Amino acid sequence: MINNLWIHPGLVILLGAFLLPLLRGRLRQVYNVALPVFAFWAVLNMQHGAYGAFHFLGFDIVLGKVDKLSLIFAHVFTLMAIIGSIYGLHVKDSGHQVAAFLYVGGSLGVTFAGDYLTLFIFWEIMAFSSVFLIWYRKTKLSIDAGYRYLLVHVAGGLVLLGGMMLRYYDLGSLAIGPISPEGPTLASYLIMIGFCLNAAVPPIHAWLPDAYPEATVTGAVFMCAFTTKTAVYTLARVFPGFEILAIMGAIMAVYGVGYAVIENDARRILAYHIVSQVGYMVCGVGIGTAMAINGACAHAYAHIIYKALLFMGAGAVLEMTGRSKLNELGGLYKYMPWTMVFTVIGGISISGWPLTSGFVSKSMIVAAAHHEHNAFLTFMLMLAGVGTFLSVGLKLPYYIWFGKDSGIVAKEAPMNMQVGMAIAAFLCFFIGFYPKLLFDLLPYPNHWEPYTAGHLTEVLQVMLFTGVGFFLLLKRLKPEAHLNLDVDWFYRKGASIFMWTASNPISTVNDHIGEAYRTVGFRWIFSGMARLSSWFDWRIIDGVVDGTAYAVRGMGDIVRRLQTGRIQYYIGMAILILFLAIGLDIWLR
Amino acid sequence: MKLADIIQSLRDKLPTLKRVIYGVIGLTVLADVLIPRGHPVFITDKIPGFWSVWGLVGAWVLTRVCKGLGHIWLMKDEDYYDK
Repeated sequence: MINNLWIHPGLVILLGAFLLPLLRGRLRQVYNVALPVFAFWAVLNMQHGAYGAFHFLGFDIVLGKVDKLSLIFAHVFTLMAIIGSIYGLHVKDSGHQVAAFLYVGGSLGVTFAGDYLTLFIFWEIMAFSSVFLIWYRKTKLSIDAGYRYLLVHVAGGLVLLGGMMLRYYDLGSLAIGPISPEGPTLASYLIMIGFCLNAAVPPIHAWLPDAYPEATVTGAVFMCAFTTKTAVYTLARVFPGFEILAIMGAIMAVYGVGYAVIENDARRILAYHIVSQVGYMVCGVGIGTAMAINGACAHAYAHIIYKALLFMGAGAVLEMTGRSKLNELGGLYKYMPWTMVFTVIGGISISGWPLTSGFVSKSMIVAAAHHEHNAFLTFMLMLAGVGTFLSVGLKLPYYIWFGKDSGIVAKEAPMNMQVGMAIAAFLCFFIGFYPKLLFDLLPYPNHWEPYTAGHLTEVLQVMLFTGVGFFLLLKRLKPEAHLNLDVDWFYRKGASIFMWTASNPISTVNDHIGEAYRTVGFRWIFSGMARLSSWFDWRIIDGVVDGTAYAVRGMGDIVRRLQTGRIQYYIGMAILILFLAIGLDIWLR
Repeated sequence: MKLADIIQSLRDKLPTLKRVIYGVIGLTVLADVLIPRGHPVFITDKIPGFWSVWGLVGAWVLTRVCKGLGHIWLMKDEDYYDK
């Protein structure tokens, strides 16, 4: 029962995506841009309230919880969908655009979700549609990276599901709302871990720099905007004021730039910078004051635009030259000057130069930390600022467009790509010049003024002297053709060690245990299940899980020709373990 | 290719460009000394030019520490995971 007329922009894009493959040529291009424009219009005309509320098998479902917090994220998500669609207009394969739209729709679904069940379904739609943006690159590297991406996200989704179920068991409600930082339960922590995985909080961040650089040129532009920022939204919605998030955020801000300094692949540098920039937002959420939450939202808004711009620039270079490693590039300013100008605008925005969007948003979080007299957070964030300008503002453009001439001759990017970049670049300056527009969207009234003499001299000093440092350290910063270890080692290298162990000594033992398990184990599990189903409507979860399992297997089959492992079964196993763990927890209470 | 020519001519005037940048740097530091900052919270808020030192030292420390860690530990051959 729909309360009154309300257009769900996420469902519009989700359902509208399926029309796309039926259209051809110019008509498809027009539709490709018109669909997100319509969704953006729907967001602009939205009133606060709860919409699309209905009762479904004993659950209170709310599809559309509209308030200032969900609106600012929906605003930038739909805007970004327009920019991304324009940038990807040249892509011939309509499946690629369908995947992008499903992903955007999922993200909007999460943004407006008023209950955990709705959130979870859209959350999984995001993971399963975005993986195709990696697979469409159609290289061995990207197929493998896509599988790892899926594995990690399904694991994260399961942790979230576990938290949800325990929460329902404790409270009898699936409604989403802020959880008090005092006395958090196991359920809260599981939900937080699920959110933090998508926000790429170390040590569960490695999926991001692993997968995004292997995505298609357009795919990466979409991916860099939605997954992590949707997670920031959910963290801001549920966990404001959790100090652990403030500390983790400050650490991740520096962690990301640290890797960006030594990374060689342009898009991997940018991926590590997502970790860093999302660190600011997670930190803001953790501080939890009105100013800090405002800062997190403002920074998410600004970040989506300039990070997409940077990915568009690096993507255009990859599209035109076939390369993204800095040690193979150089001297491109003669051939791709416009791409360079746009990328540099993205670079100075992410660094927070005055008159750009980063200046007005990033500083709000730093000012909030300063305002709380928290020296650790303030100086960590200021150090991350130095690293940001060093690696994205200077190193990345310098080694692509200047540096040693690589001898590569390339054409300027196609017009639609340039238009996409130009819109994003314009918005970076527009927000910087006229921050009021962004500040009016913030969830709390804003009393902070970015353009003060003290703040200007502070930021200019840090930036200018970082620049001096860069040119003094130019030799030391030279990009090197290497791969950098990160915690994905554990499931990339660790997995093969595990497989060896599993295939040799353990398998013998396993045969014996398996026999005992088959005879004794099942009876125990079934009685546990019976108790479970008495409190949680089994059909729902069964439906979700079965659906998920079939989707995984179905997709697995599509790409199996290139895949040697059988990840479907690992995921199936993970689901089984999760249910056993939850059953055990409830059994013991 | 008009824009490329502009960039090229800026590159040709590099010494002049550098002098302008040094001038801007000088002015910024001067402004920091002259303009009082509001609400000092940490001791560093009272030191004029602190953020200049922060930018320079920060860039140096990040480069040396990260590159150093990379060389002794993190950097592997590009086909490391395929082996």
